[in-house]
Amino acid sequence: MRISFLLLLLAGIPVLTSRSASQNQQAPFSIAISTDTPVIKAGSDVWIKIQKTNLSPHDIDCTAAPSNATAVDRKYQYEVRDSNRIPLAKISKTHPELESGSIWPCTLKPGQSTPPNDNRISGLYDLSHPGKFEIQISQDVSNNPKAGVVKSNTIILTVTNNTAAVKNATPPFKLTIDPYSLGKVGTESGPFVVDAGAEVGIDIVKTNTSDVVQDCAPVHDDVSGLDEKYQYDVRDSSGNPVTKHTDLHTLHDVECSCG
Amino acid sequence: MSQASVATITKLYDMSRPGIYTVQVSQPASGSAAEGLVKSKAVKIKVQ
Repeated sequence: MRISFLLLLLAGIPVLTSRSASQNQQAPFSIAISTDTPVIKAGSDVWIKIQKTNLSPHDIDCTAAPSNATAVDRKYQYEVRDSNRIPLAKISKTHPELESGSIWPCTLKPGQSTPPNDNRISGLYDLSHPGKFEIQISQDVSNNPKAGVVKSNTIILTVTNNTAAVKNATPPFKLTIDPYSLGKVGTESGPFVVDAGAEVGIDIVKTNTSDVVQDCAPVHDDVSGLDEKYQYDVRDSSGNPVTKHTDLHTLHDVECSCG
Repeated sequence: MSQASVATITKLYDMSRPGIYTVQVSQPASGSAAEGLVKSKAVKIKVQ
């Protein structure tokens, strides 16, 4: 039954980013959307995370304008389609001109990303009935209409009355990590910068999101000290797995031979 | 309910060369990897 869990998780991960900005030009930014809950009980609020990344060599604007009424960032355009790929109509507002909100100024330096901010898309569209829905958002590249738009990846949302399906599709826990080194802790706004040779660690927080007890007792490796209950994936800038220290094996051999 | 731990990844992985590294942590959802992994977000670390 849990086989479907991984597939459903993948549905919430940004995998396909298309750019409608001029295909000959590198878009100055990308937009990734995801959801922690790709399968949701009918009638529940639907939240998606939006993360904007600066792909350009200069600063770009990332100012957010969350609406008080809908809790979505009005700086983006939203599109939701049903299982027949027919666009849904937005929930009509009696007085849209009275809609208020906030302005959160923000600038992204080259390579930086915004945190994955939550947006309540069920405030814009009626997603209370069972079905499968495609969600994609976009943003104009600039005030110049000829500059085109940048589109996000598409995620699939399943709305169902089947409580068991919702439970099976929801991860039983959440893992959050943050890098640290020499007393500094990383943020989500960009790469965590350290000097070559410095010791680097990660804070790992495991949060139980289920209604059953989760095992969280660590099992530390004698040599590296890392918790063996986790799998660590470390890759270089080309995406290749980083090699492990070879001297650890030597040390381990020595310890074994001494034991 | 949350549980926090720390892991000094440079004890195990060679991140001594300058570059941008990506680190992600995962754990089987229910004791068996065949039943799917819960993954953290990937964090970027720039070594200079």
